[in-house]
Amino acid sequence: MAGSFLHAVRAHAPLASRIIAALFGGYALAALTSVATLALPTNRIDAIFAGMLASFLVYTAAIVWVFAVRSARRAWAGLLLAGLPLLAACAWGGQGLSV
Amino acid sequence: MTPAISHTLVLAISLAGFVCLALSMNRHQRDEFGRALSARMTWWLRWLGWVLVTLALPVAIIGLGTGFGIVAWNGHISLAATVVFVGLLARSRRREIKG
Amino acid sequence: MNAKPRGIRQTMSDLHIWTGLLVSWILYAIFLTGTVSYFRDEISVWMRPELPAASHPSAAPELAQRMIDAMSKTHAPGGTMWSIRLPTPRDPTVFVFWRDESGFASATLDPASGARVSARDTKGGDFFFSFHFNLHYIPRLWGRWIAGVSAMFMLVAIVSGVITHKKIFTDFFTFRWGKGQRSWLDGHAALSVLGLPFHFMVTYSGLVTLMVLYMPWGMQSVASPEIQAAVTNEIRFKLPAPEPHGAVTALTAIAPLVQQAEARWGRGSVRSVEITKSADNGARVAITQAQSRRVSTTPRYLVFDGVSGELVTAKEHSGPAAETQGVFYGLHMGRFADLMTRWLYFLSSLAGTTMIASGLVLWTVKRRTKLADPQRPYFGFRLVERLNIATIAGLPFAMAGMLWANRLLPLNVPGRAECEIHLFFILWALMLFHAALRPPKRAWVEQFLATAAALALLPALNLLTTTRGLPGSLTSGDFLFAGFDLALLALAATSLEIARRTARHQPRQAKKRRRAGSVGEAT
Repeated sequence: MAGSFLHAVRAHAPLASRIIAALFGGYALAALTSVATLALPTNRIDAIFAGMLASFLVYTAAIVWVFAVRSARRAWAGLLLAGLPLLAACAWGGQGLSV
Repeated sequence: MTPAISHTLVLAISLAGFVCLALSMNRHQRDEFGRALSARMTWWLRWLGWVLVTLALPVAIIGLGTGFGIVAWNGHISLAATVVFVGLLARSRRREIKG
Repeated sequence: MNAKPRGIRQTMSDLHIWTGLLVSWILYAIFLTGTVSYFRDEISVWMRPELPAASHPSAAPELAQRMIDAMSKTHAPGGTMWSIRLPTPRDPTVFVFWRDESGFASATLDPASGARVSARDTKGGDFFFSFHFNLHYIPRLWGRWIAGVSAMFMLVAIVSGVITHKKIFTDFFTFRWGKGQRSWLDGHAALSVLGLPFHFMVTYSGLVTLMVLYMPWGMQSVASPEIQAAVTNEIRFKLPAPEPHGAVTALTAIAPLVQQAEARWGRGSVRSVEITKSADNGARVAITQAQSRRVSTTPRYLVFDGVSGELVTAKEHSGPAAETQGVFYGLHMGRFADLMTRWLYFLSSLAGTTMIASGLVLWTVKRRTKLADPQRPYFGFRLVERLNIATIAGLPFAMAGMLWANRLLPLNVPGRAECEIHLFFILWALMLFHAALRPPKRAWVEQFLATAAALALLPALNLLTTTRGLPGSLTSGDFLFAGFDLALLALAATSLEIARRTARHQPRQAKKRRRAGSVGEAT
């Protein structure tokens, strides 16, 4: 009983992992994008709109990426890799915020 | 040009364009003429088709304005392609039943 | 999954199928109600047949002044905020709403007299519009999130569908008749390709219309309330909220202000006039531009001092990203569209709705041939099949039913507008029961027949219950009523044809003499 349950978990884990990566990892990446654009050399209002507009395209691309690559691990790695520069941009863009 | 004339013109040009494009395809040449047209003729048809569909855009823009023209052109080429698609379908269907 | 890597087309195909299936029923409902919302104003007028047929209202400055006078004298003398939406060629009435000490209120006024028009209580086309992103019976926020998630799935389904079927672009003039699954696939692909720019635009822009809800993080990370207000004002303009007490007093004449706006933007360019009591105990008058002027919906407005009549602010430009937002918002709503473009919108959107429906049917067609025992399909299959029927055929029936309720419900029923909506959902639920109980093929045929009958008899019902029946509207040039009734008849004919083809359809197993092109295959 327990054995077959564990087996089922192991068999479905990669797919579950991808679904989580797509839904939540993808959203996180999109949300990061929507903040990262504040680093753009434009006024705040346009930067906010650019971020919101781009976020849905990033989300879509992220979901397609997660299911297109060979393994769930690669899917996560790709999301993290894409997230790093965005995170840097968020930090950079956030600097001027308190001013 | 009144909007009504512009719309009619754009739709008519798009229709002509898609008829040319459809007839530049081997399958439809055999369906409609009973034989494949020469490579030269096919090339001309395809070229003419693209030119007409593209030409409909400036006509729409001149007649309706830039923004409204682009939107209307998009709608008209979809409609024109659908009409040609359904027309070819109906003709091949009739031949099938007769034959 | 790591064991045997599969081709990109296979994974994209799976992604397309499952993202599509999961949300397609709700997407179909969103698309169909959204499609008819391109004629939202026309539906609203048809559902209030007491309204006078479109007249030629007087010039905007005098009209606005007349409405303001009516508001200050009769409708809302104690108002701290008044908003007046001027009539358009598509909507002959004036919609006003205001705020006073007892809260918000609204009314529909006659542009000629400023008196309240007495028309039946109905939400009209606004119901379909609101349902297509708020849904109903659940908090608006939930509805909007459900619609947003569905739109995201749709976007993924569009991209993965294009990757899966790249070939459809080269041979999209091809359709194979009577080949069962192949024909359904060809039809689904043709509908997708023919309307692809529209499908992508409308899905993406749907997300754009509510993006402040879905992606608030950029805005929230900027702490300044001024910038946040500036962002929302690029989507929908609102004057700052009025003081809670004290009415607007000593107001300057409104007509000259409207005149100024028309001088800047052109005649017939004013959409609304909004007046609020301002913080310094004076008043502010905002005049906004009609959305029929440009594709983009980024608000264009003038704000005047309500006492001196001096121009305070003129908003006539937006930044490139804000303007891009406005263009997508405008493209989604299509408020700028002239009659021909409106019909193109309607047809493209209907093609999108049909594309979703064909995808749903394709799911069952593809799996039916592989059923171990076609007489007793597994639960998931039966569920999808029944939901397909109740959604694809049941929803149009319920929508037609709501128009019936609009004509048949007594005018003095309390909460009449809500009753119409309850009836819509009751009818839809009945269709679900029907689909669950009847054999699938019968259910398809019966529901499409019922839809055809409900639609076809509506013009007759309209003739019997109003003074604006088809013969009269045709001869008197009442184009809205004539067009509406004719459109109902055309839709009825379409439903009938689908029912006829479904009834004649032989399932594929029977080989030879089969006919495709119909919805649903029988068990």
